[in-house]
Amino acid sequence: MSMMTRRSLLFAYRHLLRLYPAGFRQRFAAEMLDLAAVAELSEWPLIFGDTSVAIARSWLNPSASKVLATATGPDEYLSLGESAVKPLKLFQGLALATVLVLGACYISTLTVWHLPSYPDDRVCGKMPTKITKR
Amino acid sequence: MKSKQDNQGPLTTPAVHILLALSESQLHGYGIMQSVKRLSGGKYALGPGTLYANLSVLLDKGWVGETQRKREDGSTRREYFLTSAGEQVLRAEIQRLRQLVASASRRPNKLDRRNA
Repeated sequence: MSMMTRRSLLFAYRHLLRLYPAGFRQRFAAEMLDLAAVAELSEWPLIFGDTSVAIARSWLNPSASKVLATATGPDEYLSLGESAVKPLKLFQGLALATVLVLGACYISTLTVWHLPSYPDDRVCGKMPTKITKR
Repeated sequence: MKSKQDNQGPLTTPAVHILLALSESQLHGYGIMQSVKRLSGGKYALGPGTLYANLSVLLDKGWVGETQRKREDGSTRREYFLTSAGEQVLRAEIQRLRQLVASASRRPNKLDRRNA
């Protein structure tokens, strides 16, 4: 791996680590950066992917820091009782999904994306504004 | 008398791998990642996010301890080791997994009959 690539990856990773909650960041971020500094290029997808998931988990479920975290890999393991879906969690998920959908709808109305409006002259030709009876 | 393991319940896969790696020797973070990869024959790769999230909990529970080791260049590096409580928990987990495997090994005949 070239020095330039390594520096770029470390620069991005340093900023990614800033997204951790303050307590965790102060305790482990420097060490995680040291770990990344000696990693090979093939290990970087795992480093970025796994850290991103861990950051999201640390914010979405702060109480998870008191229980052992599961891996993001295919053989992740949940003990019985951890998988139960609680009504409050369902409601939070519903609220989050609603906010996301409304946000996407709002963004789609901005000038960034022009959705075609029908009848469109370019597609249908000029439409009569009023149909008159003969 | 209930052991700590009874209260904890089954350990997660990363936690077992970390404790197993530390049962061999005192290691730093990257050393744990490499050790887990080696012990699993390259089938299980532990990322830093999962590693440190688990280490944080294992340290808080007192199953893993940390120490500073001086390097040749004068800087220090944090290394982790398995505590006696952690060793006890690991033994209990291995025993639980043995029982699970023993129970599962009695099942193949039934499974074969179902598949036939």
